[in-house]
Amino acid sequence: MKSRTAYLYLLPVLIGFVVFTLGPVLASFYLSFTHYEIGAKPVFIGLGNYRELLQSHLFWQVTGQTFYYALLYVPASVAASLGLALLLEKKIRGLVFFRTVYFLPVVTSMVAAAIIWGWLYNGDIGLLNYLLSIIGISGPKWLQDPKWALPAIAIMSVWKNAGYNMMIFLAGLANIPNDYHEAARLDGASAWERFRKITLPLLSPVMFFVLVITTIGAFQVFEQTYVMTNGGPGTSTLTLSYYIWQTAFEFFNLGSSSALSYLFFLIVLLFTALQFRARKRWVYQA
Amino acid sequence: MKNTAVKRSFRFSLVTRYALLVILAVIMLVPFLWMIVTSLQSPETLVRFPPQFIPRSPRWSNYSEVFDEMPIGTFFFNSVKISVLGTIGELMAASLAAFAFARMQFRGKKIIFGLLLATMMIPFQVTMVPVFIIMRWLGWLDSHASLIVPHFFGGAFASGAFGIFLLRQFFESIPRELEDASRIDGASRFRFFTTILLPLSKPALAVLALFVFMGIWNDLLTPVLFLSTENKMPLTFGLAVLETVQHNFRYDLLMAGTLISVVPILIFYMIAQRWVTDAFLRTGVKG
Amino acid sequence: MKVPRLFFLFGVCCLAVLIGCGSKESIQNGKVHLKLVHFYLDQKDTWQHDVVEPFMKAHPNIEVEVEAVPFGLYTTKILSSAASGTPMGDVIVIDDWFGQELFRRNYTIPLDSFYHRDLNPDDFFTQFFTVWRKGNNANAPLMAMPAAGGVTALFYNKDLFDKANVKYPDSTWTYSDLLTAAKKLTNNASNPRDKTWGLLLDDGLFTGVDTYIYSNGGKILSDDKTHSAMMEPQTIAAVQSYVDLIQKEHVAPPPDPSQLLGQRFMLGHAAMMLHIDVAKTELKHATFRWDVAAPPKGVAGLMDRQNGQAFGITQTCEQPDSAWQLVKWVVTLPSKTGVNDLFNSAMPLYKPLAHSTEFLDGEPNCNRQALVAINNTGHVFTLITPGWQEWRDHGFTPNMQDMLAGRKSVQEGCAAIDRKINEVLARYRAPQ
Repeated sequence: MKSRTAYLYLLPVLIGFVVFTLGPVLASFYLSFTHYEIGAKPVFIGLGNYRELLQSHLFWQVTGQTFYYALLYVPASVAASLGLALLLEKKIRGLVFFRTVYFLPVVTSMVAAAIIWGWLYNGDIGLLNYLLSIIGISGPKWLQDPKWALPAIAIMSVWKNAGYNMMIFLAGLANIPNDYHEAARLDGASAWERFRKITLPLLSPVMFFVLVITTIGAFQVFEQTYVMTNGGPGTSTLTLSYYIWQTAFEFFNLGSSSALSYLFFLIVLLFTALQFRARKRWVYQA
Repeated sequence: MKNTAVKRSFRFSLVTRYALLVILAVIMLVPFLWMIVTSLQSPETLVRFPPQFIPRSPRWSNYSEVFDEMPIGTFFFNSVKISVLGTIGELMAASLAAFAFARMQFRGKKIIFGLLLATMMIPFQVTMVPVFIIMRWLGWLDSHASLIVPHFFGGAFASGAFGIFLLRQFFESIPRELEDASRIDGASRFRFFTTILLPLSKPALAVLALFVFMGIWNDLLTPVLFLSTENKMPLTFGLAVLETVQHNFRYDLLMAGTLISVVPILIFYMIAQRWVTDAFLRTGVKG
Repeated sequence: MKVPRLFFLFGVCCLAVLIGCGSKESIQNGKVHLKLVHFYLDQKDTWQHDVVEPFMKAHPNIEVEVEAVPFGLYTTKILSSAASGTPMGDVIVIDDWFGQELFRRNYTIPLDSFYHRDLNPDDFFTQFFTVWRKGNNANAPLMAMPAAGGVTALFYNKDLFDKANVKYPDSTWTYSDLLTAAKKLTNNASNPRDKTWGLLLDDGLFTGVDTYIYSNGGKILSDDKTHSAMMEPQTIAAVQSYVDLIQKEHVAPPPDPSQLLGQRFMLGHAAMMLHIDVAKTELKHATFRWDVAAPPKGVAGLMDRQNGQAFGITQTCEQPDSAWQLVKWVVTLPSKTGVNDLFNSAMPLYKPLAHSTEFLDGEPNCNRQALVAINNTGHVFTLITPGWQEWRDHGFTPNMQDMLAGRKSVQEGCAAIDRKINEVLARYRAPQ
């Protein structure tokens, strides 16, 4: 009985899921076991695509780079957006102005942002190294340097996306009843204590959400590398989703790209499952 | 004594807060200002070094040139239509599903939720070709339906799960006692959902609306794949046209076009933000 | 609180309307209806006014509809449509780098009978045709009609040449002349902002490296294009001398993957660049005087990679005869107007167009005669193989970048490229 009502509410999403996601996903699951170049007939080759990928040095290198990027990006991004949200939580003058400013990069198209940052990062005559030279630092060549290219992309992405999670944190903060803070203040709790004991626990479900979303987003990094580096210098900024795209639409090999997608999917799934597993340890449940 | 200490720390925190806010604002703004500056340069001053931080003779004609280049009005209307309708559809589907996940017990709940969440991790490139075939089969190629209708079913391109997840987190944070009370008053479940839960979740809905709107507004890949008539294309298509001119080193036009495309989202953001603020104030008062 | 309920009602109504309004097939009122798909978005108006409209005037029974797709998404769109069995237009423009992928699958129809019936091969630079034949084989069917071709050119900044008092390059130049001039043109200012380089070099196959290697006696692929030739001694020597220009002679900076070569040249900090000739459109707004010359000759003379654009008629086109009329029109362009802009100022392969004043005097103005003349002295080669983009993007370019930046020795880099090329080619050689 109860299940039936619930499914009624779920109906639109379930239809969409089956037609637009599950079906296509199963179709490409089949393709991952074939040699399929667009336009030709798929030929079943069993685990051939997977074997070839797992044996290739490049696949592991790219996977490692994707993790490295996530490691650089996720903590910085979550910390930055939480910081912004906390700064803007109180009612102060100019609130709307600051919030709009922090949100500006989010609404700017990634392509435009990437072009601008590519220009700022220019090793010889870029604005960034010019500013660094003023304070006596001689900056690296950023996108031209395999050591710095991925961090540079991570920095740019933090700038681009901090406002996004900031909004989610702000909405989460808005849902924390003010009374709790008042009561704690009356008890003489310091700001830090209140943050630790009230804000963080009550914000933890939202934090969890942000963490999961940001991690998935980090694994999927695509446009930045597509516009700014094309995976270079060398293959130092090649990430999994760019690799998938390349294999399908530049190398025209849909079978291999499907296999790659499923490996990618497994990795992200594993990671997200771990996050859910760890959830009970730190996420506060009402 | 204690009082002044509190005051001082308060004042200090206010000063630091503002200092931080301003520094961060500058960091956020520099690339953006650079974009505005670039959009007002002429092709000749664009490549000059050291750069002109304030264009001596701003070239406003870049903007009119963008307008002359393409039917911006038509693109704009298409973008508004697709984004608004798509957002409405996705909010409906996501809030219904999120309600079921947050407040009901049913068989397969965990599995279905897990599956939906898993779809977020699938890159669109994987499902693109099969989805294309489905659109052809439905007869929606070269029609806006291909871009809008999937959102009524939770979004075809894996973005839908995000909304369900977001709303579920918020619905869960709303006290269960509210529902019990309204059910005792004899209200139906759907009535509770529409009259109590949704209004209470305005901040989350506003944020989701903003993100969905932005996602659709900035999407270029799907319109180009599914549409083929130029006057059905959205604004991002116009932007893509401009991107081809960057090969002629016309960053000025590209940036002007980007600014034009950013403004509507900013307006939408201002509206959505007022809702968030409004809801924020009210929860603050009520507790 | 009726708002949310109204909202739902409104939503459902919208949905109903939308589902009802699927697209309808366009009706053809006695006229032949053709769809031309191209990626020249920034030249859309020129295409309309200088090609489509005059063509329809000359062929009143044919109606042409144009679809312009952003270049970056063109292949994605064309291949998705191919995979789903939906035709994309009747006449499509094809770029050399993905042409063979379409031909292998018979996405387009052979045009030989039309070509031999209506056109005279002597009127074309036919050395560019191989890449448009099935399997890259000189005797195989022609799957698309070649329209424009690209050659590698030597761009130079006249202001910097004058300042350093160096004679402008000409068609007699050899690579040692290039090096001598580049040394004179490089100044070693301590401030990177004031530094000028003699030369700009790139790391990608489209942008001059290939011309350098082949002209200097090296080879990237074996003659039958089934194996790598990167480990041949001459190839290693040629690559070494290319890398030396940056690492030993210091007359050129390492390439910057975040910027197009032409955009770096635009800054006016380099006196010369070896680059594909269509880059001239990027220099339209240069603040200095510049010109182009034929690339220098090496021990193997002047070797150039063939590339460019061609027009194909899709397998699903119902009116191939009419479609051929359109293809012929585009390639020979009877009115000649717009010839400079249609292909972003790439050289037309139809000789009367290449020698026309409309093309030679087109904007941006430069010594185009020198570029057209390359066709009489130079030889062309092709590097297109099945999967070639994979060995390029995961083998050639990244290792070239590593070598040019000094992160890998030439021996190591060439060996890595060699492995990758052979690995990819072996996969396509294997029977399936």
